[in-house]
Amino acid sequence: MNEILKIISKDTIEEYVKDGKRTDGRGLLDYRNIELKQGVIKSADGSAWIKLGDTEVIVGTKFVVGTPYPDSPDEGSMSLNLELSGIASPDFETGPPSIASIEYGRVVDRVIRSAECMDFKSFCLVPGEKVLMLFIDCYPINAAGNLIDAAEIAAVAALLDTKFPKIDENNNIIQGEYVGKLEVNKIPISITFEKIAGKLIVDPNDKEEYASDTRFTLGIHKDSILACQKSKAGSFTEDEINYMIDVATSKYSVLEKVISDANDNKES
Amino acid sequence: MSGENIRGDGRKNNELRPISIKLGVVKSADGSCYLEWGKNTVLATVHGPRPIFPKHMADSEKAVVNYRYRMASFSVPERKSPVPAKRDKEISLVSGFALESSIYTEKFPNTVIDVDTIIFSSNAGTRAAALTAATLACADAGLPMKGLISAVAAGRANGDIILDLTKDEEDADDAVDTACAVLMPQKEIVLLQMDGFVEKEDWKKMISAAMSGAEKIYELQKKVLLDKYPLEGEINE
Amino acid sequence: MRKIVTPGDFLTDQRRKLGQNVYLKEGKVYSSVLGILSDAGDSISVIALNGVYSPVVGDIIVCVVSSESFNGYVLEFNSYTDTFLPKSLLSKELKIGTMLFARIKNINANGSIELDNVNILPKGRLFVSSCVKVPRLIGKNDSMLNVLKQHTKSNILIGRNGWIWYDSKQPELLEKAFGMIITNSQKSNLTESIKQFLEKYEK
Repeated sequence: MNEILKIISKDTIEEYVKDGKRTDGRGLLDYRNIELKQGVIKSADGSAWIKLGDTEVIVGTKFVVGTPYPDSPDEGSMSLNLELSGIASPDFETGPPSIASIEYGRVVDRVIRSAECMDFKSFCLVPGEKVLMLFIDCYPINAAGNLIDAAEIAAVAALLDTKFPKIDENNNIIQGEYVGKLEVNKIPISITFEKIAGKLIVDPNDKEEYASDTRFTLGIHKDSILACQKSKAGSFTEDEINYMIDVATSKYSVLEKVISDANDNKES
Repeated sequence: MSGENIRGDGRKNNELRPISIKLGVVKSADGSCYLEWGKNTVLATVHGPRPIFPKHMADSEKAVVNYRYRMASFSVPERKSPVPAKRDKEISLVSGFALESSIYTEKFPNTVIDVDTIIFSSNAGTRAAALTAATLACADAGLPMKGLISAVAAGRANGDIILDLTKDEEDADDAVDTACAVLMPQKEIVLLQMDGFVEKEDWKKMISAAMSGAEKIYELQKKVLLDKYPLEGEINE
Repeated sequence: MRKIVTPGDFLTDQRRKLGQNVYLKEGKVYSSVLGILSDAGDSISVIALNGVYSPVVGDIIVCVVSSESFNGYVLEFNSYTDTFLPKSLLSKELKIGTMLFARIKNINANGSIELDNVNILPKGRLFVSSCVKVPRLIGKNDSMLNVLKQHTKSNILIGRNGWIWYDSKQPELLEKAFGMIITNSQKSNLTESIKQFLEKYEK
């Protein structure tokens, strides 16, 4: 039934966008209201909760001891997972991961991984044998559009909230005890665009996502591009791609501030 | 049951951990409930009744209730794989039976009611917390029900019969742990699972403790439902 | 003084005619939903504060075409079931997403419904509400509906199923008003409060 409601809205959304507006009163390049809080899940090593418009995601991090990859024996690693479940939307079914959840998770992973914002060498316990692996698990609770950006921002906030576990003499994690914080040396931001009626919008809500046939996500750090993903069956021109890069780099500092404000407020 | 023993967290034998509850937290769901119980945090949503797909799964006499119990990977000290374990599937099954018994499913043939619960942080008694939240999400969704499901764990640790065990108490040498869910106000037991080794007399005390615990949970649940709709007050914009 | 009751709450042990959302067990009447007790007259019932729409003969509903087969259309209408509309009842072709309003003519033994007085709605927008809020959205003798129409310059059709079609000069204001009515539905003097709110913001 959600499906039919999105179908009905399509014409109205297109009309509004042609006029440079959106049905919820925003401009084409305006974000919805963002609330971000860290430290919300005490059993995680780090966590964050985000509300982007009505889209809500909870992210938690956990260190696990594992073996290093053969080609990087003195480095640990990160792994990001995004779970779409029936909680977040009547359209999602719980079971094996849907292709959408796989794609969203991998895009968010790439944005953060490409930023090289963590020193994986500091995760090494015994070179060639034991390293720390950092799992970042994202749980959408309400899917009202732009899960990729919401999950990415919350994931970065969760990383900033993450504490380094205390390790015993057998290189096992002592649960619940920590030695200092995870060092995160950059804040990468993901910015997703949808194309509707030939115009480009940021931060789509769920009905706008449905009305669009082309999506582009950029991972940005200041004026650099970390990652990108074009999805869905439509196409972009070269000018449109370069326009989106200009818009995304101009949005960076505002979104970075959301994360650093949440982080500073938590510490004070 | 002695009321004088003080447990590790300062509680008496028949005391519950602190519980706080919020309804209607997930707007896209028909009903939802966020619940904190001691260090447990759980979210429950209800979608339905709605047409069931695929159609061959339909029951022409009543709604099918799909209950899912899941734990977030970071809910426990050692990261848990997101893939549902056998334990999660078993809990989903028996919890679904419990919840289903309270719902007038005959009113909605050929439909499905999806009840999703997720544990974000865990410290024993999660299946009770999940069911307690799920029933509130059903009431929030306006489902017709015979009553509410009030769930709690009772057991024994360190020689005492206690209510609402923590993880530490579950790990005690002589620990016995019973999960119990009761349809209230009828006081009908709809879920009962137990692990341990206990004599008949202690078993009866445990069940009695669970029943009185369920009554306390029921009072809490009713209060939360009534508080959701204040009849007077200023108009909220 | 209005009273809110929860599922399983005891209502009475007197002999009463059973209305909606109550059940009888061993001579006692209990509520089956979270709602407001309605105990006037000879019957006892509970007005649900939330819930899915159950078709009632005579109701006017707003529905939407969700799929097409060779001889008709499947219509959805915010309920736990959908309905089939034969092409023979229509003079025009419909598309997926076409909005209609119709009257429920009959409910068959197997639960399927038949419609008559089927009308295609002109281009407009759809607001989704729970059906339990419809009486409040319409108001006594259409009082709330008229306030909404006048102060936002809108055409509005409220289906008993909770779907509302509208064509408005101030759609954002109207949607905000719908939201306020829904959130504050159990409070008194609501029509007057909404009127005052709209007078502040109408153009």
